[in-house]
Amino acid sequence: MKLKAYSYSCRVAALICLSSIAGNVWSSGTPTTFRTSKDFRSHIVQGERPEIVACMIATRQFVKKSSEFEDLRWLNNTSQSALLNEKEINGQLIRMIVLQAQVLPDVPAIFETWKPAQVQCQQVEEGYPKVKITILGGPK
Amino acid sequence: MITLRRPVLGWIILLSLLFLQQAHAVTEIDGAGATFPLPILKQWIASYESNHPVKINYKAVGSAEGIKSITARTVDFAITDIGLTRSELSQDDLLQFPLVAGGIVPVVNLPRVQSVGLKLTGEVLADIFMGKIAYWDDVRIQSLNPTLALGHLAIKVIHRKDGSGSTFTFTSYLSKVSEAWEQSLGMGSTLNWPVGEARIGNEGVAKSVSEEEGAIGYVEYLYAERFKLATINLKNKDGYFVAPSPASFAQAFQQASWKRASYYESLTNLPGANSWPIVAVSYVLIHRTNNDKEETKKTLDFLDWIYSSAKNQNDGYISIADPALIKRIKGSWKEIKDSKGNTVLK
Repeated sequence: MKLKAYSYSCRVAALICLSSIAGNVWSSGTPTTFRTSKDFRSHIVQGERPEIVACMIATRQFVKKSSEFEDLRWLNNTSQSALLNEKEINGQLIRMIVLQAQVLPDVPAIFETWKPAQVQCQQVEEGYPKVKITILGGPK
Repeated sequence: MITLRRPVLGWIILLSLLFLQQAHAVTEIDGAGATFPLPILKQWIASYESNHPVKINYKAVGSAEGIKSITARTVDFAITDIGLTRSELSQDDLLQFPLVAGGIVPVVNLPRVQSVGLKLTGEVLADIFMGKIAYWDDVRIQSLNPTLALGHLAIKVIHRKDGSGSTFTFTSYLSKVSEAWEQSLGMGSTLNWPVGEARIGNEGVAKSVSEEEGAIGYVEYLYAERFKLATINLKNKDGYFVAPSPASFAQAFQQASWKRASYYESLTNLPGANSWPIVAVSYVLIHRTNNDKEETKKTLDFLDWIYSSAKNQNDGYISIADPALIKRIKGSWKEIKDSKGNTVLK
């Protein structure tokens, strides 16, 4: 019985260990595992512009982890007004995406005050987009 | 004399019929996506189907719809000219590789200059598509074409309505050559076009331009030829006015490095004296996992045939012919798995 419990806990530990590695390992530009995302699929199936979806998902993740923002919402014209540009500098592909959104700052308040914001994603050599959110018309 | 009993004879006939049906069974594979490679794809499909027991259904619905279809798993493969990057591909376990390339060409309906070849720069082209230049006799167009009598004819811009890889590539070029375009519109599969009328597919744009005097649009080269549309000579990065042709597309295409895991390449505004500045790549998208074994195998057989046998059938397109690249692409197919987790190819 003890042996069984030990073996089970070993397997759980190994699984946790493996899954944490699987979530992070990228070897020499090729993904060794796939972090499939339901968000990606739903954005694409809803007809979102494929070239901005990675930025939208990275922004959601950024807001989830942020202590500055409680929430973010896209506007009806976010997709159409998105500004995407890419450049190749010394063989490195750099993609910049600017999206319009609204954010709910994470501050104690009685009423929810959504503020207009600009989301900037920078993607270097196809990597995960780096996100920056700027509240428009005021300090961050 | 040995005679078979009736039930036995019945079984033999039934089994023979089943065997014959199996021998002539036709597997159907479904694809969807870009209209850009459709003319060459139709030729490839016809040639392949004539020698193989496969029926290939390809719906030319535009690159964005193709991506949607493969993501929703309603097709076996998609073809897109909107190249996805690694960070997008990994989110839906998709594999992407190049299939064919070709030139995107601005086309015009100007009866007086049909055979001469209008000259334009990237900046002027961007200003036309932004509505800043509204008439064909505008001083900026006239100064590039001093010998042409252009006449005071209104410019009618025609662009794509559907999410399109042709739009993605065309606007990538405009972003690189016009600061005003870069800052206000950028590149994309669909845009907030400041002027113009929207049409579906390369064919929709070509048809509209052919019907409306004063119209300008952008299509894949073969559509321009088929609709007998006048193309323009564009000033390239090195300062030369270049006519669209398979040779000028090839000069740009040869600069692709294919170094990325996604094979994503941006082949716009590249250097070279005879380099056409707007070249698009059509990529195939296939899921890495959870595939129908038989259909995926047939899909890969078809793609294998394109890489190995269809090199001479390019009809204005640029085939993928580099053996090292083809080897790398085929090597990646070994990762493709069926719904049981087994590799599709042995």
